[in-house]
Amino acid sequence: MQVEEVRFNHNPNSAANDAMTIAVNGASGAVVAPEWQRSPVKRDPCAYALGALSGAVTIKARFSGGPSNGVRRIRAVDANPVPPQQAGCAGFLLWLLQAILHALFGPIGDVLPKNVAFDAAGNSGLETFTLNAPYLGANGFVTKRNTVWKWQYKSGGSWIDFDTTDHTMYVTVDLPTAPWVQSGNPSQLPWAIALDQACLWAIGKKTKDDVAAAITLEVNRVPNVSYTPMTMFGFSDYQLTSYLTHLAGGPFIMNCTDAADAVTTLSNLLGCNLAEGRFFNMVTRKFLTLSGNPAVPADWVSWAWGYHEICWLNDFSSNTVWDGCLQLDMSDVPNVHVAKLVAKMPFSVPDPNDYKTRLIASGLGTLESFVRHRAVV
Amino acid sequence: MQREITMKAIAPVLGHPREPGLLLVGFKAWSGPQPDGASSLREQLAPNSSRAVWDLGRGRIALTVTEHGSVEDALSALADDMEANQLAEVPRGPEDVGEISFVHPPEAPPALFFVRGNLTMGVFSFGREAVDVEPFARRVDTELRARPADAREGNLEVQRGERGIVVKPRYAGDGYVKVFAAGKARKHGAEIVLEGDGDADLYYVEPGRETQRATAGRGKL
Repeated sequence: MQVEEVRFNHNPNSAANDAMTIAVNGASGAVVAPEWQRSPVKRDPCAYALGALSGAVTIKARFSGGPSNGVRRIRAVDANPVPPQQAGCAGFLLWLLQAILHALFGPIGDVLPKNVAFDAAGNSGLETFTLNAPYLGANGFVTKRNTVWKWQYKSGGSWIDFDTTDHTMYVTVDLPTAPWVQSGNPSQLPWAIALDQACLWAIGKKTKDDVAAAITLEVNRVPNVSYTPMTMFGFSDYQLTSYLTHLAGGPFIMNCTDAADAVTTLSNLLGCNLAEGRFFNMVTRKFLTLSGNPAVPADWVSWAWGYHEICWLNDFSSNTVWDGCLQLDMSDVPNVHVAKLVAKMPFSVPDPNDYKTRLIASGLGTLESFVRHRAVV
Repeated sequence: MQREITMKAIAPVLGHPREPGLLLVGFKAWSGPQPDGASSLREQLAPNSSRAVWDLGRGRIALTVTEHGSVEDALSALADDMEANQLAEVPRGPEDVGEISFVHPPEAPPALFFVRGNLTMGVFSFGREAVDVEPFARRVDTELRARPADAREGNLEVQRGERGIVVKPRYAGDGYVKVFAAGKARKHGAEIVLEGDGDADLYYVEPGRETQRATAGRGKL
């Protein structure tokens, strides 16, 4: 007996009980179930949005080689469970490490048993299975999981192994928001290559605020990036493919628009609700430049800017901002700098620790009339 | 930098471009001269836009190229590009580079932006280590303006289209078409439209291959 196919996004119109709709990249088109198929071989990823799930999570699977006109009770369990703890301190530490890695990157859960009927040729229909998946419930968090399932059928009182399948699964806090879509333009479906980066940067985060803060921090601290005033990854569209390429390559440069695009686009991919918005005409106070070292005086800089672009919660009316391009100086003591990452800070409120107050030395900082979500290319 | 500010500088050139008959079709960031370093990355950013990055002994240099329909379109697009620059003011670059050029001030990482023919180009110091970008920008600009030497006649087919001409190299690879028209030249879809009297010299340039040449104009097709 063997597994012929497994379907995770078996209802493309909903992500309440199954996986959401994704693409591998901007040119691939939607990943269409079955995500796992024996022949021809198919190994596509899937993704779950925690906030969209309600009730039981199900998959669908089909089998062959079963008993002619018979019934088998079938389930799937973790093929690589954490081994038992060994004696001694070293044994405990090794077990603890394995347990943590398993929790962070291991299976989403098990496939609960059900009776499957086979026809005269030994083939099943497409059967719905319910998952016992604690990491798709209250214990869930952002991650990329590798699930290897050992499929078993029951014979007498024992479970007999008959096949193994492996699956790549992303978990986000909620359904992706603009520019990402769940239907329509397939180039704007959530990209797996972007989920790889976003899930790595926000691993373990459970809330939208934590996700946005983590992505902002990571965009700000990319080790091979430095600042230039020119937009390098597109102004009408966001060249996300190029940004992801450069992250994995040699030194590169980018500006505030690129940082706002990265924070907004990757945070929203995980379910946040950010938008890019600009404000105009300012001379800044000193701030810590992109990827700068707070201990290096030359990394504390000031600019005369025609505009600066940052991320806003929903739109300008929220007065709540994130900025991956810089870190503010929160010190009021001359020549003493205290760096602060801008994550969920108030903008333009009467407070000495307000973003606008801390950034702008002179100039109006007038808001543009609209916020945007640049399409990804 | 605000578009209005850039356009004030561009407007006089827009009315009287120095080389309105120069048109480049299919030119990529890696089609022209290479800086003294190792090619690191080639990116097709959009159907009409590409970027190449080179690793130098110290630092990196990047060239971004975007193809437009005409010199005028490129000049207008440069103003749009400069709107995506955060600086309140971007100074004018060297007078002899491009139809017009802008350059980052000394306090910013080196970058030079210019228009040549129907192309907008940006040359960037692309890493933490500052690299002087002007020599490479000049090399690119000089090569774009130059008529290829030792071009071979006969392998470049020129056909009449609905509005202009269609140029078909007999042996085409990853090269580009270079047009020197006596009047104005512009792209219209896959066609090249020549305005005004006089002939146009057409070249198909592909690194590593012999350049192909043809002439087009009234009475030549």
